[in-house]
Formats: sequence, structure tokens, C-alpha cells
Amino acid sequence: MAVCIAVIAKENYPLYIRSIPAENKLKFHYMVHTSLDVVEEKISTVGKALVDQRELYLGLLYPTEDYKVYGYVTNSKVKFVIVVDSSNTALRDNEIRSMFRKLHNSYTDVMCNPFYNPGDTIQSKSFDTMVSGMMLQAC
Amino acid sequence: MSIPDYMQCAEDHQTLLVVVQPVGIVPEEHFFKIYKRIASINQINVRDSQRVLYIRYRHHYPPENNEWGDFQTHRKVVGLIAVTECVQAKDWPQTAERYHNQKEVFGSTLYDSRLLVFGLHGEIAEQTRTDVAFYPNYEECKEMEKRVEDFIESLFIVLESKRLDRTTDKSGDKIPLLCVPFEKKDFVGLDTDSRHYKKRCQGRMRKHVGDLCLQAGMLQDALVHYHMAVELLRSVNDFLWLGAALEGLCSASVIYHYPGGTAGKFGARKQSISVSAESGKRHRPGAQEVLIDPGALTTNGISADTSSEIGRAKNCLSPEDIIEKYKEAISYYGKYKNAGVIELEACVKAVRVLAIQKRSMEASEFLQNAVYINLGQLSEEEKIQRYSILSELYDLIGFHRKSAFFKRVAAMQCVAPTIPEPGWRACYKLLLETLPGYSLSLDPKDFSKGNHKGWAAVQMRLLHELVYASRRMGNPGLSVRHLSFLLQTMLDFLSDQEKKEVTQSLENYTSKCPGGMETITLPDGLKLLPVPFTKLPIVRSVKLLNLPLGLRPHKVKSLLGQSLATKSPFIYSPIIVHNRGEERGKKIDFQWVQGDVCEVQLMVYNPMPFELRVENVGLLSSGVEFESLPAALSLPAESGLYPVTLVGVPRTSGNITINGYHTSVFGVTSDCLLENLPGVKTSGCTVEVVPALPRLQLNTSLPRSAHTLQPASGEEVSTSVSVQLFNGESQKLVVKLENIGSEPLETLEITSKVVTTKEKLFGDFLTWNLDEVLSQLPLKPGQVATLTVGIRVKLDFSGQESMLQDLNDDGISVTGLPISSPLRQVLKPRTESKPLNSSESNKSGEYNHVKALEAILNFKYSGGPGHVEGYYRNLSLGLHVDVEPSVFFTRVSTLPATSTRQCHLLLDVFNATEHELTVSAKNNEDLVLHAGECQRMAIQVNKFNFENLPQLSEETSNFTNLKQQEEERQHARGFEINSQLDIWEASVEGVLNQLVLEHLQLAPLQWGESQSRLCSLVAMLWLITCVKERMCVIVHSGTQFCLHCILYSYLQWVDSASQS
Amino acid sequence: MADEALFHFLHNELIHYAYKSAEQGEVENGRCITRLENMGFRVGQGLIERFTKDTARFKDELDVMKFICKDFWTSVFKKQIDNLRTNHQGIYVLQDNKFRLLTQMSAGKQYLEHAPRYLAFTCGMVRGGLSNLGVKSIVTAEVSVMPACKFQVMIQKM
Repeated sequence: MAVCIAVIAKENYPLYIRSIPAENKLKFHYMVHTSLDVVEEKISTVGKALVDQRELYLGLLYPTEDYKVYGYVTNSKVKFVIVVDSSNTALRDNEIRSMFRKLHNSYTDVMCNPFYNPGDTIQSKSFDTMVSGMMLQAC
Repeated sequence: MSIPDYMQCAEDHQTLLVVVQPVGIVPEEHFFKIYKRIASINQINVRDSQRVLYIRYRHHYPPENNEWGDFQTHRKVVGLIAVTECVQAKDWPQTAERYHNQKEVFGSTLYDSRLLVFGLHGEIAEQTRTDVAFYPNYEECKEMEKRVEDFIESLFIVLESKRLDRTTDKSGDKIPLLCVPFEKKDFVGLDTDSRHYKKRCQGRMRKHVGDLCLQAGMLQDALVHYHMAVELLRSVNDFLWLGAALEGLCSASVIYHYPGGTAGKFGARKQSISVSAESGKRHRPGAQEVLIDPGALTTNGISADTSSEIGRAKNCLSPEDIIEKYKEAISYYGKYKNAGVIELEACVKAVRVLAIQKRSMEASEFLQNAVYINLGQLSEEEKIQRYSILSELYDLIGFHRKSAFFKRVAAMQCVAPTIPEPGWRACYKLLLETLPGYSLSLDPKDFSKGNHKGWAAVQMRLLHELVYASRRMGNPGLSVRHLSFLLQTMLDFLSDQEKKEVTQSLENYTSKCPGGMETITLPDGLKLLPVPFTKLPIVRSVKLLNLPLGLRPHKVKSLLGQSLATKSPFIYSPIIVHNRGEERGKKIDFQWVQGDVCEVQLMVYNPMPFELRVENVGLLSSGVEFESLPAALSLPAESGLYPVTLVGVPRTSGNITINGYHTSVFGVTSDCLLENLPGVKTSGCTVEVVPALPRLQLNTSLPRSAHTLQPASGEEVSTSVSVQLFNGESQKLVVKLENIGSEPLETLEITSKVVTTKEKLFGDFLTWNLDEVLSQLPLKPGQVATLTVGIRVKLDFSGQESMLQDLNDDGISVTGLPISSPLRQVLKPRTESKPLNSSESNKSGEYNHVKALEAILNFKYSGGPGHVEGYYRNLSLGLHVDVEPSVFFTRVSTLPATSTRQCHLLLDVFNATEHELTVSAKNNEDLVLHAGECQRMAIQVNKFNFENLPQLSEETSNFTNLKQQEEERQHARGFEINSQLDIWEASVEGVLNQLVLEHLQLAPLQWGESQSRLCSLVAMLWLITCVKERMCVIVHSGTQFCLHCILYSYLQWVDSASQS
Repeated sequence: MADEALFHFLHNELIHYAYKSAEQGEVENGRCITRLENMGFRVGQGLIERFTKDTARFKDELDVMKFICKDFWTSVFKKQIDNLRTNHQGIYVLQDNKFRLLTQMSAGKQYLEHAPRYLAFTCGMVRGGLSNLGVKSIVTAEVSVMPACKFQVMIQKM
């Protein structure tokens, strides 16, 4: 079950971050913040052939005792980070990928909304609904 | 082994460990001086050989670590240098004894030791012993380094011998088993004869030999030995030692590949001395790569020349392999929970290598692993050290955020609840170091523009922690500074509740230590910049206000032409982006005066959800000495735009620029400069300050009026007085001018202007004697000058125009000629225009129509330094006169008199007041009129000749309209008559209409002939003399027709009503 | 499909409206052009987000420009850029020999002086798309013979 979903702008500040349970969200802030290091490392093009450079999905960023953190970067350098509970081993890679796909679709919709200024925090209700669905559904 | 050595790196495997310790009491600074000198000798070129020895020095080494010396030889102490102080010979045996005891501590592993004695003189000091060196004092020990080198050489000799021993010790079966401390019990009772066991022993020994070779500077041999050991140990699954062998392999490879060392800034190797590595780079082209047959190993190792090329590439691991092997080794270590420290150190070493290889991802994996290695019970200090090191390593690989995270953990650990004496200072310092990782700079200017960098929630937490730490540290100033920073930069992200909490705690702190605008410099050099509160309150616009009307300086226009244009040099530019800087640079076109209170209006807005108390609000200015008078205000919660006026007094003249404002909110003083606030609208901040001018205050003898004049010209009147007069009355107005400024009044000019009314005014309304005032100048501050102004009201004494419409039919022409009948003047109540509620019979109602006269008396004055520069001030007095009707001439007719030079003028006089009046005309009897009464008076007047009158101006010849011509003449006549008569009086003109006036014209001495009544107009002058409270009507006129009535009117005021 | 025509008409009206509602001073100093360009910028950002949703990550700048020339142009104008030139130092020239928005205007030099305002929106679109992909640039256009036109992209070093 996804416990935290974050959308991060290309300047590395959060556009949207939501976690359940609602308290202790600072912990997730920290976690997502530090995971950015890993994300940046992965997408930097300093001669590494480890990761398929052309894929948007970054895979598992790093595991901790309780959580697993996955990352995804769009072509516009917007990053999505999903944190899932480690105990939930039922989640396959494919499922994570599809979650990211949905996120990307919704984000694109937000971006195309003429009332949305790129760089602002995301306040779209439909985006919220989609995220809520993802957080509760995969359990 | 309990204490991990985080500073260890791969190349430390080739070092010899020497401990330098004090024996007995040695002053710290001396000891460390000696220590530093000794420690500088960390590389020795072995004599007669190309090999290089590396030495590692420690001044403190836990003996437990020594027990792992067999496992990895660089962990054991092989040399001991003791430093002691001994002044007296008799203390010598004691000292020696202690030295021996010390040696025992490391005795099992020690190859050799030395004692350095300082301070001893005498014959004991003369002894030359190899193991003890005597120095008279700490300064005179120049050849100490030589001694140490010799010592190292001796260590080398021992090392070599051991190495050779072990290498060539192929004494079959009896190879002892090397163990690590916790293993010992596992091997009790094991079968020592099994192949398994033998292989194990061989493998371990091989590995040990490899270590020794590495330490002895024989890299290639070490590699070979390690390879062999790996194979042996792998076959027996001796995992721990297998891991060690692998690690040894890695270390050797690392030393080969990275001659500069992997410790980064900590232990850069001197490249020139490391011969073996450099020579390894040369390889003869075409050389075969052959794995050296271990059998070819001689006692001296592989000979120098052949070893330089052959097999080098094969034996040494490639950089990628190094990492693989490290991983493997660490995984093996991981199987043994007692080998935690070894594992940890191995991780650290691997990370360092990866950092150099710039493979951050893998490094982070290693580090991740390292975090979870369980080292058993760690003391708090150790935990702090561990996290700090982790943080540094993350920094090394470029994971700054993670590094900041761990640093924060370390900081929190410093003040964990279990620590008896929490290290708040250390905590604070560590927290400060985490700031860059969270993109948090302590410069408030970085936050004034655009998007918020970084994660607000995290940053706020960090700031809160900084505040808490600084408070516990006992430095309230820092807390205040950090808290103000939080409030200023994170205002948008704080919830209402948080805002309240933050401001409350801020007030708490500032009660102990008020916040200010100075830069706080921390002991380690970091500067905390001042944080002005630009959002509390938010200023939307700054407007400099002009002085009040009466205080505005005006410049005398010089005859030489306009002064240099002070207009803004910025012409209109259609460019879209015009920066506010231009606007600010504009000079305002009004001026301020030195010494007078000047105002600046700010529109502010309070963003907080509660009432904001702002104290000590003042202006910051430059260019002119400005005394700012502070104000305090209380803004309601989330108010809209609220105007605040700040005042100040410029004390010198020149150009003043308002740079900003200062406030004191929640105990924190802020200086906010306008240039740092791009969102503030201002229409100019620079104003010219004019030198001081005097200030006058007006006082009059008449009461002030509530009704202020609103002249159409837009000027404002500073004072207004009003008075009620009857038509024809005069009144004196005493004006007192008090100099309430600080400059003397030197010049004064007075002008008056009648605000145009539809009433026709005859004569001078206002008169005064200027000399009366000028004689009192220069007026010093505090003095009063008086001026008397005379008000004379002379309005139209006729009723309404329609009143006088025709002459009395009674007019009889003496000559019998028909009187062309002018229109009869009829009392016509104009019913159609009257309002319905006024009764028709109330004829007097029309006559009670109060007319209003307004005039402005303008005082132009100057003095002091302002006068020198050509400035003056204006003070104006408004005068409002309510003119009550007094007397009306309702009917005019003429009667011929006995002589042709005279005629009688019949006037119907109507008393429009409520008093009894006596009307008297010259040479006539008085007529008493009651209120509202109308009676006829006859006045004998002289006809007068118009031909004697002064020439009219040429314009009259242009008048086509005869009537205009006549009117012009009429006026001329009027003045002529006035001057002839020269009576101080109020005049009434135009009482009669044209046709009546005809009658009064003096005939041009032609008897009996009638002239066309249209040819010339006769001006008739009715003069009503007003002497004090008396009114006399003198009528002087003449007409062609024989009008022989002179009407004297004498009006006697009964002032009883007003004066009693 | 008629959807192309819809965009063309809308585009024309957009320009017409921008100029009609501008004040005198604005028309003279190119504020209208700026406004059109800014509109295009925002549209470009959104479009790129949508178009690159499923594509792989771009390797380098050249890759990005190729994407603009091929996929982006095709999606918007139903054809590709005919020629892409670069000096490999940050300047790219995209040449379209039959720019869709100009084909209905003229086939030669007639109305040449009005052409710039019809290119402003497209320049903005390209700039917006590039900016969202992390490439800061300045895009200008020039027309010598209609309906061919050249778009010049100057990459700014950030």
C-alpha cells in the first residue's frame, strides 16, 4: 500500500506531497527529500551504463527497514516518488509501473489546465482523487 | 574489538602501527608537539632497497584492537615510543619502571620500543642506550627525527625477519592456526590433523604472509600471497579469513591503482616516494603477462626488475573487481556478528574507493548497509561519531541531502536524553552544517524572490531545532535571530496556530534579549545576517506628503528666467519593463522646509490573524539630517490597507531621500530599506528641503467661522472669519500675525481678492495700511504684529432690478415737455418666481434676502535663510460677509427744482431692517423709518455736467452698442464724483436705471430744450455717508430735466438691539 | 480531418483580437507580439508534457531538437520540419518550406510585412516546449518567401 506519494518539480521543491497516515508526515518529507539524491544520481548522464537511460521508470531507489522508495522521472524533469510499505510484498514491479503511469497521466492533465501555472503547487481535485485512489487501493 | 576506526582506508593496510604515548605526567602541549614531530615521519625509504615503509602513528590505541593483530597485521601495535619527563635523577628508576609496564600492555605484538626522556641532566643522561634517548628539554632535540628513523629501521628489520620466517616456513604440518579473539573457543578440541584443518592453517598463514609483505613494501608478493590464500580458504569455506584475504587483495589493488590514497584530504600520499607504484606503470611493450608461479618466490621476493613488468596486470585487481571483492568480503564478514567493526571499516574503505571511482550509487548501497551493521552497545559518543562519519561519506559521494539527514541525526544524538551532559553547542554546530543540504541559507534576501527553494516543512523543522538548540546553549540572541528568520521567510507556510505560537515564543525570547539589526558572527566564522521584518506589516506604498498649504514654500520667480529644469530627465518611454528604480529616483515637485514637520504616508497591511502591535515606527533617510519622530500603531487582524503617517523634522537643508523605515515588532527591531522591497509602490523618494522659513499664525478680532471658503481657484484658505454687516456698513478687522516659527519675519506683502459673486460691489471692499505692519518688521519669533483691515460693504441699494422699472408718473416737466415716461417703477412682487410657501403679502421677504460676499486676504511672507534662497510662504484669510439688506430705494423720480441747476430727486426709501432708521440727506430733514416702512424723500441735487469729465479711453469708440458706452461713462462719472466728494463712505451706484439717470444729467446749459433722452446717459450718484454708526445719504446729480430735489438721507442706527 | 482548419482559424482570430484590443503604443512597440509569444509558451509547455508522456528519455540536446522537428511538428502541423541545421554550438535552424499557418496567406512576397505576427505564437510554442524539457532558449522566426519560413533556436546556457 502506497503510504506516500510526492510530485517534485524540476527545481527540486515539492509540488505535491501526500502521505497516510496523516500524522508524522515530516518523516516522509525527510524520506522523499533524501531520495532525491538517489534520483539525481540515476538520471545524471555521467557515463553510467547501469540504468537504462531511456526509461522513465527508475525502479527501486533504496530500501529501508520499513519502506521501499520508488522513483520515476518524466521528460520534463518532474519527479514522482512513491513510498510503499515493505511488508506489502504483493506489489509487483508492474503494479508500481502502472501507478506511475497513472500519476503521469494525471499530471499531464494538470499541466494542460490553462489555470494552472507551472511551478505552483498542485491543487486540482481530480489529481487528489486519483492519488487517494492509489493510496487506498493497492492493499 | 569495540571501537571502529572510521578514518581507516585501504592503504592503511600497508602501514606499520606505532603508538606514541606519554609515560607519567607530560604536559599536553609538549607532548603533542613531540607527537607531531614524530608523526611527520610516516614514510621511510628502506636502506639498500627500493622499498618504502609507511608508518601510522596513534597516541591512543585500545589494547583490545591489538588482539586482532593476527587477523590483519596493520591492526597490531608493532612499535611503541614513550615520551616522559624526568627532571631528577632519583626519579629515573621509577620512570624506567613505568616504561616497562607500558611496554607490557602491548608486549605480545611489540617489535621494538623506544623511550624519550626530557629534562634529565647528569650522568644518567650521558648514557648512550639504543632504547632510551635523553634530551635536556623539549627544544633541544633536533636529532629526534633521526632517532625515530633509526627506530623504524629496526622495526623493519624485525618485520623482515618475521616475514621471511613465515614465508619460508614450509615446515610441513606444524603451521599454527592464526585466530581472531572470538574464534579461539571454536577451535578447541578440533582435529588438528585433518586436511581441512591443515588447509585452513595454510590459508590463514598465507594471508598473514601477504599482510606482512604488504607492510614490508612488497606489493606484488602480497598480491600473489593473497591470491593463494583466497583459493585455499575458499576451498575450506573459512569465511571470515576468506573475507580478510579478499580485503587484503582489494587493499593492495587499491594501493596500486590509487597512489594518491583514498582518504581524500586526510591522507594524501606523497607520490614521489612510492616507487613501487610508479614503476609499476611502466611496462615493456610486448611483455607477456604471466601469472607468477608461486614457486618462483624467493626469500627476497620477486626481484625488482622482473617484478616491475611481469604479472602485474594479472595479479592486481581491476577497479571494478575491487568493488566486487569488497562486496564479497563484506558479505562474509556479515555472517559473523562479532566482526561488526571489521565489516563497518570495510564498508567505509569501499565507499572511499567508490567515491574516487565516482560510482555514487553503489557507494550509497554500501553506506546503506553500513548503517544497519549492528555493533552492539555503542556509547553515545560513538553513535555521534558514527553518524557524523556517515554524513561525511555521503557528502563525499555527493548525496548532500542524505548527508544533511545524518548530520541532523548526529546532532540529535548529541543531545539525546540519555546523555548526562547534553552537548548543545555541538548540536547547534552540527545543525548549522546541515543547512546547505536542505537548501536553506540564512540570508533573508535569498527568500525575497520567486519560488521557495527547498522543502518548507523540513526547513521549518530545522529552524525550530536551531532555535531550540541555541536557546539551550544559553545564547538567546541566536534564538531570537533564528526565530525571526523563521517568521520572516516561512510566514506563508505557517498555519494560523503556528503563527501565534511562533510570535509568542519570539516575544518570550526578546524579553531577555531584544533582536537587532547587527550581524551575529559565530565563533567558527559563520555570519548570521540581520533579518528585517518586511512582512510585518507589509508595506504597499510609500508616499511623501506635501506640507500643509500654509507652510508650503513658493519660489520667487527670478527675473533671469526659470531655474534649471528640475523635471525628471526620464522622458516617456514605451518600453514595457520599466523598473521601479526609475520611479524612486524621480524627484518630487514639491518641497519640504527645514525645521518644519514633514509627513510620509505608508499604506500597510497586517497579514497576521491577530492584532499586530508595531512600535517605534520611524523613517530612515539620507542626505539631510532628519529627526524622525517615532510612532506606534496597532493594526487589527488581517486588516485591509491601513494608512500610517510618519513624521519627522529635517534639520538641515538639501536633498533628502527616504531610504526606508524602521519598526519594532515583537521586540525585534528591523530596518527595512525600500530598495530591498520591490513590491512597494512609491512615486518618488527624494525631496528637496528648503532652508527654514518663518511661520505665521493668524488671529483676528472677529470670530472664526465654521464656514470655510472654497474658492474656485483651488487655493485653500487657512482661516476664515465671517461677519454680518448691513449693507453700507463698515467694520474694522484687527489681524494679529504671530511669528510661531523660529525664523524672523522679514518681508510681508498683502493682497486681497474678492471671490467673484454676482453681486455688484461698489468701492473698496477691503483696505489696509501696509506701512503699519512693515514698521513692525523684522518680527522675531514669538512676537506679534497687528494690522487693521477695513471692511466696507456697499452693495446695490436698489431693490431687485425689476423694482426700478419706471419713473414716477408724477414727474412733471417744468418746461411742459412731455416726459417720456420711463417705466414706472412698480413694486412688483414677483409672484411667479416666489416659492409657494412664502406669503404674497410678505413683501419684505424679498428685501430680507441676505447676500454673501467673500474675499480672500493673502499674506505673502518670508524671512530667515529661506528668504535668502528666494522662498516665501502664503497665508490666507478668508472673509465672509453676510450682507443684510438695510435700506432699499424702491422708487426713484425726479421733480424739477426752482433752479435749473438743481432738481429734486424723489426717492422711496424702504427700511428692510427690523430697526427704526433715520435717513438723512444733506441739507434735508431727517426721515424716520420704522421697520418695514417705506417713505418718500425728496433731495435737492445739483445737476452736474458730464463734459468736464475726464476723457474716456479709446475703447469706447469701438463700442457699437450705445448702452455699453453709456455704462462706461457711468462708471467714469461715478469715480469722478467720488473723488470730488471725497467722503469716507460706502457708495451705492446704479440705484437708478438708465432712464432715471437721464433725468439727472445736467443739461448742457440749454434751457428749455429737450434733448433726446437716448443720447446721453446720466449717472446718478447716490451717496450714503456712513460715519461711524450713522448713515447719510448724499445725492449729487443733475439732469436735463428740472429735477430739483436733493435727497438727504439720514439713517440713524438704533443699536440697542445689538449692543444692549 | 477538419481539426486542422479549426486551429488555423482560431490562430488567425487570436492574432486579430490581440491587435484589436491593443492600444496604440503597444502596437508600435511589439507588445502584441510578446503577448502572443507568451501565450504560445504556455501552450507549448502543456503540449510537450502530453507528447512526451510515453516517449523515452532524451539523450541530449540534439535528440530534443529532433523530437521537436519530427513528432512535435507532426502532431501540431501534420507535417515535419523539412530541414534542421545546427552549428553544434547551440544554434539550430528549423526550416519549414510550407508552413501551415502561412499557406493560406500568400505564395510569394505579398503580405510579407504581416507575416511576423503569424509566427509569434509558434515561436512561443517551441520555446515553451523546449523550456519544459529543460532547455532554455530564444526562438525567432524569419520569412523571406511565403509560405516557407525559418525558425532559429538559440540555446541559452543556464
